[in-house]
Amino acid sequence: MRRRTIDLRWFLAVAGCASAALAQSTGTLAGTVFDLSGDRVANAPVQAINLSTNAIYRTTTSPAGAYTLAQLPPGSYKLSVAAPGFDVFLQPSLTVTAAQTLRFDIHLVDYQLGTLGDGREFRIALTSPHATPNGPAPRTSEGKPDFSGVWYAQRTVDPGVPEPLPWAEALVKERAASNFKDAPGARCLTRGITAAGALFPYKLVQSRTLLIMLFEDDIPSHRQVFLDGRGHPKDPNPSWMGHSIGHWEGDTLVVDTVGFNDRSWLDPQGHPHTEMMRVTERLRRPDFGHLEIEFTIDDPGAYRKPWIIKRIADIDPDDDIGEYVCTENNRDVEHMVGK
Amino acid sequence: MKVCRNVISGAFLLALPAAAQWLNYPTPGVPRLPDGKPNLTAPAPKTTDGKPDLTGTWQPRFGYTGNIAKDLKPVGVPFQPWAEALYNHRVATESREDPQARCVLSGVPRENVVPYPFKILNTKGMIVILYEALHSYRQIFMDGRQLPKNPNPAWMGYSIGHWDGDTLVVESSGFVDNNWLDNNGHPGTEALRLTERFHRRDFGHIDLAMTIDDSKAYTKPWTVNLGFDYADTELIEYVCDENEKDVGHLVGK
Repeated sequence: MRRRTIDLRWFLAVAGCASAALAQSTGTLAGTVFDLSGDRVANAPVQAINLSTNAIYRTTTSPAGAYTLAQLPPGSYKLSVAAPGFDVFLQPSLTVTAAQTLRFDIHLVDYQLGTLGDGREFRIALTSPHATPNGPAPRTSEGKPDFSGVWYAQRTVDPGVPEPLPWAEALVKERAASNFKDAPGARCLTRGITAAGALFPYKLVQSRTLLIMLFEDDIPSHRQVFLDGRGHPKDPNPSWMGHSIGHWEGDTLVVDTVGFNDRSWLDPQGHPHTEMMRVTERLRRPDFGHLEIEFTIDDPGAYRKPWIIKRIADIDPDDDIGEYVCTENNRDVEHMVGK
Repeated sequence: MKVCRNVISGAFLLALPAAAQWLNYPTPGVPRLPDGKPNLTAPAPKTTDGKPDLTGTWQPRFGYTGNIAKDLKPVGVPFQPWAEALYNHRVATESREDPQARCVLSGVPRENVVPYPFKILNTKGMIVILYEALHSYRQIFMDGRQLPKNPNPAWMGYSIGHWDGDTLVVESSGFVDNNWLDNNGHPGTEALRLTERFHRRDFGHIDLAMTIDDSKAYTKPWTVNLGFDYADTELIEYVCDENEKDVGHLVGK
């Protein structure tokens, strides 16, 4: 799905003389972004999406944590904040009215695994852009991009707009209300396809017929993407990672995955899915240092329409993945408290 | 899904159908007999640089899951006294303290005797092994690097490999201090230096000669001969912590 971004500066330059009239026919969304300890969060990217036109409006918070999105056409908006070190904040619907300012303060939740050392700084170090060597993407002997290498955890470029069905929305709220105490990762269960590369570094090993993903996280775990032309099994054993096959469209590897169980969480907010889920990943290596991953989550059992998440991973050329044994001396579970 | 197998030593046989249930997919490029089964005595495939290609899905040969050194009887392994006492304790308590039963990685070299298949991928500069058991993996670096001087202790250790003719020689160090080499619990320590010699003698068989050199636990190095058989199947997902019921059944004194 393509979305249109409206550049307000351009808009004002062209329609400057009409701004007085516009001020009457548009509304404003404004507020302050806090962290859980009440400190203001500067430079946080704030994004509002008009739910009827899909137009995107963006700003970043001031040094005092304030944001203002002015001249929004009246209507319903989905508000999101994807600030480094925090879980992505999502407010599914806010109604903007003409000639009025809707104040909406945002309280970001620190990303955490409940493990010593896994705080905001940890997350920032993992998910901020890293300096990478320049140069073109390496290629295989068949001329395809070679994705092999150690990659930093994926950073979210566009968290997309999940549109959960009522049961799924209720479950997300219930999980938040209970402090995410049932998160599978806390029990050393696999994080699932969208989260496995989003927290810790991972390694790709590519051959002509197989792409292997080795995850430092998750006990650890691995994933296979078959590139040998096979199809999906007719009646796959439901699994956390699903069954993945890939094919090339030019320099993009398109990975199609089915055969999921219904147990993984698609993100730290606990968005659920069903066994009907089909995930399409489009992988590109535009240059040596970067891997682009676009997930399309198509699950008519849980979402009204496909949910697209765009991420980038930076190469980590001088490091390797370590051994992460979740089950060894795991102390998370007893600290997962919620109603 | 986890297949419980620590209590009844023979129960691993029951795990086999699980490995075959998911994908009945004949792997392309496999030499086959007229009845469609893999021709296990066909020549071993070679990589472009003329070395045997170990790529494929393999099943550890049966019989060594409980006791990796069973062929060394009656002499047995050259234990240090404390290691023998610990081994005897583990046997007497029916491996009640086995970390693997608590979903900690089987580790190396135990992965060579677990009753679950694994997949080898031979690529440029490295060999990757994906284990069905506990969804884990191992890297063997073939790019000429040396073993690290002060490695972070790991269940999988740190492995480098080179070719000796048609034999892949893998040297490993950097192991944890509380390693179990098998279900019975032959101990391994941080002093373990492991040498594995993999030889794919034909399409369907890899012979493995493995030398345990661990001066903290044993008075001298000892060698066991193991092997892997080609498995015409795919790995399935093994999530140990999902509905884990092993620990409650570990009833040794």
